[in-house]
Amino acid sequence: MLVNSSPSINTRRTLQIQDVGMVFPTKRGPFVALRDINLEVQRGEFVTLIGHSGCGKSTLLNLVAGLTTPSSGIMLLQERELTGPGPDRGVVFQNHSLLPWLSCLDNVLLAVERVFSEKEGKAQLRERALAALDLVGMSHAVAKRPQEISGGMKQRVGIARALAMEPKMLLMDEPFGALDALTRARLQDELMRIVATTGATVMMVTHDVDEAVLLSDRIVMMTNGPAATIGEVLRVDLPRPRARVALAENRDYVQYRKEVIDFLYTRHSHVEKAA
Amino acid sequence: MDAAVVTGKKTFIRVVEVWVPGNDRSTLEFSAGLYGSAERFGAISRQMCFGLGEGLPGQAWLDGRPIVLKQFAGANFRRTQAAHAEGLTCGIALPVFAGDFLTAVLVIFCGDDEAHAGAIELWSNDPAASKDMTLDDGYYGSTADAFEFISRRTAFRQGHGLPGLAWESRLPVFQEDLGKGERFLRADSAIKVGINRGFVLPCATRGASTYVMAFLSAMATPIVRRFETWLPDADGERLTRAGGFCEVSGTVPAGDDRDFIERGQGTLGRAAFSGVPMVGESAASEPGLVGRAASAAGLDAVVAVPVLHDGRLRAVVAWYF
Amino acid sequence: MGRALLDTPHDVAEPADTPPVRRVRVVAVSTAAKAVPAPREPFDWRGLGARVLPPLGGLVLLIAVWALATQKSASFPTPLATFDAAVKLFSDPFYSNGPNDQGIGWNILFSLQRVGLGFGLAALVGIPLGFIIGRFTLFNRMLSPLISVLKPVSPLAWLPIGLLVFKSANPAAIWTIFICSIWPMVINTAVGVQKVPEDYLNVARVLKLSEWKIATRILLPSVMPYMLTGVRLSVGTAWLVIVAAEMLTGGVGIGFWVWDEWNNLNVAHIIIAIFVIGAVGLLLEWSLLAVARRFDYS
Repeated sequence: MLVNSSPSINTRRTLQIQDVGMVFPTKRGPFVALRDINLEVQRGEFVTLIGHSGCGKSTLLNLVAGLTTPSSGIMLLQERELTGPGPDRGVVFQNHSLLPWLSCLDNVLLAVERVFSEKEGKAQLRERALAALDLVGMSHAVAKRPQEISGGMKQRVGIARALAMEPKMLLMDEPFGALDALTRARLQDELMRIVATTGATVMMVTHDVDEAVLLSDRIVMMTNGPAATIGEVLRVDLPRPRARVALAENRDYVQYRKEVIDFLYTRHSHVEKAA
Repeated sequence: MDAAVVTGKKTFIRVVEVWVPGNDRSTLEFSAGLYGSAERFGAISRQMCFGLGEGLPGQAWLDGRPIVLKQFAGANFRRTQAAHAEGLTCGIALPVFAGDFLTAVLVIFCGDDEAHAGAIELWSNDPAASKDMTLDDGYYGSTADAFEFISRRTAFRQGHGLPGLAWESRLPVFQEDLGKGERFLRADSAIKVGINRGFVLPCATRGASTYVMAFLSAMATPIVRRFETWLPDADGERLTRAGGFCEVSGTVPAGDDRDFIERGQGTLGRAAFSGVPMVGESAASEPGLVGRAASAAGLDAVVAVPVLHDGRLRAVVAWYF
Repeated sequence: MGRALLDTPHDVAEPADTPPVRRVRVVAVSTAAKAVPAPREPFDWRGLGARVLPPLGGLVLLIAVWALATQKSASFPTPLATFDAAVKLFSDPFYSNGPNDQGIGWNILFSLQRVGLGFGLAALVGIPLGFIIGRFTLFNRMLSPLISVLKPVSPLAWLPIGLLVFKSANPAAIWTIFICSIWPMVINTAVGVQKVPEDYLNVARVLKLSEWKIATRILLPSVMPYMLTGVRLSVGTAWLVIVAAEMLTGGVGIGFWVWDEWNNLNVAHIIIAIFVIGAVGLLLEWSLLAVARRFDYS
């Protein structure tokens, strides 16, 4: 389907999802989770997947992460077909998934070792881990265990672990969903700062409209499941850096927000189906 | 519905013209036109003809795709002064292709002012480039910027949004009430500027790209006074009414199987037969349901627009004025 | 009294309501409060009493009932007599008059040694086996039915086989300990492996860790609490079994000593043995609990 473009365009296409579908075999027969998913993510773009629960957005992210294999279609990461999970896609889970028997530094080191240990020595690996923790503002807690720090801090360490691998893409599955509103706001601002510094390409799943408009370059709105697909894609042209307080009164921000809410709550209001 | 508004006959679409290729197929000649109050404009237009690439119809013929003209002055347009004089603010040329063969160019002129709002959007998808349908061009007239803002930045997938639905079905799509409508995707901005109705027409073009034209209008100025969608049967011999909307009587129900129109019969039948849009200046004297509806609602004229896809007739849209 | 302390700042007359002045006033209050040493919290006698008195009470009740019951008895010793015997026993716990007559200290140590060996072997075999069963479904399906059948068998039923194969009491006893300790270890380890949170395994997957790294960095630490539970359960059973096994096989050990004292009709010693066995068992439990707590991550 894709035209062979000039090299300069090729290297900008970090992720290509072509005609991807996902069917799960269940006791009650095959369950079509996703159908006809087509999406491209450019280098340095921040793309958000938004939709109601059960719309398959997490399934789609899992496909990109390689934790599941699509039933149909192809996925390419920098022109190479995806074959399972790997450190080229850094994943940040909703449950931070930090190993409780390791310190924050060791948690990050686990990832760093995996990627860089062949070529680099212990000291260099340690420096990488420390730099990643510094980037997320967690230098003060390198020796602490996950139990000793707050939820927001744990999530920062999770982000540090993902970024420390220098992945081609950062994948985040409702990373701030389990946090209170204030912590969430702070981490969103942190994330914007980190992404601006690193130029990371990000794909994030959320069902928070404000979060989507604040953080994204593009918002991919998904229809309700089953057989969910992409309904509409909105380009957010707000200039960066984006300041939350100023944006609240920005007319354009309000427009974007209304558009997404309209999609979610007017046209695709989630209907609770009887099982 | 406000009776005072309804009895006013002003519609967003003010002028409809049909241009067909001449015998030697080197020029587009005037075939039919409905000018309403824009008499002088009509008088001038009937005399004209356009070569390939000349003027609005010629341009659409050359490009093989619909054109939205928002600024008459300085553009490839030969009737600027006359258009301005009649209060026409936007021109649209819709070429009708049966495969690679141009059957006609349908040209529409709209007029809106401070009191009457309307918008026209041309949406397109290039299958080689992506699966998105994006705004190609739009005329927003006296409607606020807010409306245009989102349209310029959003993309629909096939089957989603009013344009996406027309794209998927290859049939006209109508939304009576955009404010509460589940399918019109910009409902909120639409209400703010007074827009409440939407009509999307798929365009038969040359080439692989898909184009759909969206007409959006406010209650004070409906797009047309009545529209109907007629569908051909399997053989293409008969048309039966599928539905529609009338500013006077509301939703138009599907027609009886017995109330069909034969190929070639009346304005609609001739449009179905030839693939060329037809104008019927006296709607009340049309055969069958068409005439009856026109008399009942006090409608004057009817325009039949054939909707083709891959050279086959998919539907005939009837616009009543 | 405390309140009076806090009220004194009113004497610090600052009538004006301008903010800086108010701020000074607040500071004055806190420093004034700090000047006086805070009253010490009284010792929680009641709490201590609530925790210590009931157990003591229970013990006293037991001894009282015992004393009453044995007042007129000729065969069953009174608490006082038992206490005297205990004093004599523990005054020289490590004497040795030949293989069948050793101090109570030696007997306990011998038993512990056997438990240790049998137990250690069970851990060496059982824990890796538990890993394999938990991680690989094929082995799970192969071995689970076998384990389910063998698990409920009383360890003492295994003793004759041990005697037959090893032809001597010591290895047979160790064998019995081994066979009874292994089941909880295998099962708990397997369950632990299966219960490793999906999240950690996802981390392993996205990092694409090698099987070895998964086992050591993720499975092992995650399974540790389950493993230790298995070990704790085994220890209780093992200690139980060794006493019974020794009764049957004789030779050395606390179990043997109990049987021997029964043959000597020294009931006081039997009662002492009961307390000793119980105390050692409790100590074993406590020490393992302490270890388990160290590996608890919550």
